[in-house]
Amino acid sequence: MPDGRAFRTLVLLAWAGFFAYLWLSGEVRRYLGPRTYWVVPFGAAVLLGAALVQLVTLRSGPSGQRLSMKQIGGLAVLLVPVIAVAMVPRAELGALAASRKSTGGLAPGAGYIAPPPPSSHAEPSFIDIHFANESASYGATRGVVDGRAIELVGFVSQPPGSPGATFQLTRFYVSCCAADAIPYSVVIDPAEVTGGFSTNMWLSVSGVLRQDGDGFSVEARDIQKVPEPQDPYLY
Amino acid sequence: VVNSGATIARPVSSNALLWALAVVAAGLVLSARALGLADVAAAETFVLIFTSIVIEALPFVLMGALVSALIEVYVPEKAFTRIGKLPLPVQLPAAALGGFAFPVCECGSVPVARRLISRGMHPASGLAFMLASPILNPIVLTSTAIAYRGRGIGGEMVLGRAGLGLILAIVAGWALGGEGAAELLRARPDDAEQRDEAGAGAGNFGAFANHLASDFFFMGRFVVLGGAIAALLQTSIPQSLVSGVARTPIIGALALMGLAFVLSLCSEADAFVAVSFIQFPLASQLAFLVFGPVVDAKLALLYGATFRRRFVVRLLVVALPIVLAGSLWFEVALR
Repeated sequence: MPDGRAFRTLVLLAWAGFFAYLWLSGEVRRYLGPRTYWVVPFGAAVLLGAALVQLVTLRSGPSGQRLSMKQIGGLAVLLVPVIAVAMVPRAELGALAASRKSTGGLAPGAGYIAPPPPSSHAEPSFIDIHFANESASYGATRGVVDGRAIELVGFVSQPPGSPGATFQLTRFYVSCCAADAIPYSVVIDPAEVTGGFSTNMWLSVSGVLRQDGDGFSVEARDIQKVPEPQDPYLY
Repeated sequence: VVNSGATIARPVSSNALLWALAVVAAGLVLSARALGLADVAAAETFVLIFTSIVIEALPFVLMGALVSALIEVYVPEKAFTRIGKLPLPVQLPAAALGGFAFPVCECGSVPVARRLISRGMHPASGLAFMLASPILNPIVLTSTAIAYRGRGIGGEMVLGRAGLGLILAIVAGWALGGEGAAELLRARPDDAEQRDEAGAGAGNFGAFANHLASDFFFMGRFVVLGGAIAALLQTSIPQSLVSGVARTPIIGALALMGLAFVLSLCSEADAFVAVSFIQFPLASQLAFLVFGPVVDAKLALLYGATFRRRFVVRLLVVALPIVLAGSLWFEVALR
């Protein structure tokens, strides 16, 4: 009859397999940022190694203690995340997460200094528009200026209140994992573009930047529904 | 029936239990799919945040368990005897500064500290190491510098974080580690089993693997529970709630310390979140960066399982005033 080590081996194998699945399927991008991708193959390799050693001792060593209900409960807890992912596969951070993670629209505190613009020549994106609202020099350096053509891909975090009204397009920026995701939103004016834009719908918006007293928004020329990008976050 | 001291553990057929668990898990998955749980925004948010915390944290727990097992099996007893003989005023800051050399965040430092204390290091020094390493380790300080470089205060924030973290670790280690290891550490039910299995002829490598797996399982379950609590709080409480008190330095710092507890972020990433709290003064952001790696929702469970006697409450009593005073002084010094 299997003893406690057999159950422990199974849990180790389950986690090693889960990490391997995340790595091989590319699903790791849903949970982690590139800085921490390495933990997944590391976890898979070490857990697999630990499971193999447990297997060897299971076959050659003396039989271990049988498990009480409490011990089995403790081990089963470790399987909860794996089961949760099977219950809710391909989960997304959407409008609800954006509303929970937004720190509100208050102005920066005293002494706040906007960051210098990155040296990147990439097209301006959500975070650049956010900082351009706080610093004109940042906006000028990154090309976030009135009349500039721009294309953004994001999800609808606040749908238009009525047909033709503005809505918010959002993208999360992730550092290590989805728990530290920060939402950055841009107001989209659909102008002449018609269509129903519902919450959490992924859109590709092409248009021009417009600046008024509330900051930058995008006046849309074209709006296309698109599938969720393979990499849902920006970094 | 296995009689273990005064308590009677009910043995259960492992095969039957494994099948029962498999059936329950399959039932949960099928029910969730049938009910369309994946389309419920709150469920999606909870599961994604919960699993991302666990996926990121477990390998660090594993790393801590690796180091802990190495210490247990391969570091000779006399090394700890020698360290134990050093006077506390030398041991304590040296242990705290040891955090510079241990690039593992908070989940990994708890099993290592437990092992160090149980092998003979002074409890105050073990605690100082545990509290310092998630703040002082080079990866954390580098990420802090990168996050704040954009604001032109990368160096100042690194110095502030490292300095306040070091002070907190030494003072809290001294204040909470005055008792003996037996009084500080909570006995673990699997300790005896580990010793039995380790001494059962499996050799050093077998003992190493046993200790590794045992620490991983013990700490891992609390990371899972803590991750679930943090995800639940993140899903249900809007962060904008704390923005209303942003302008008040003391309340702002307390609010961000509370938020750090709720978010339970990895210390290697928290600077990127802290820097986004632009409504808050730097004092509040520093409080977030020093308090979070020392006390958060998942750590509270880990500490509770590792240490005795309301350790978390006593740590809070020490950490809150130090972090608050230190972060406010930092803001004044920076001006």
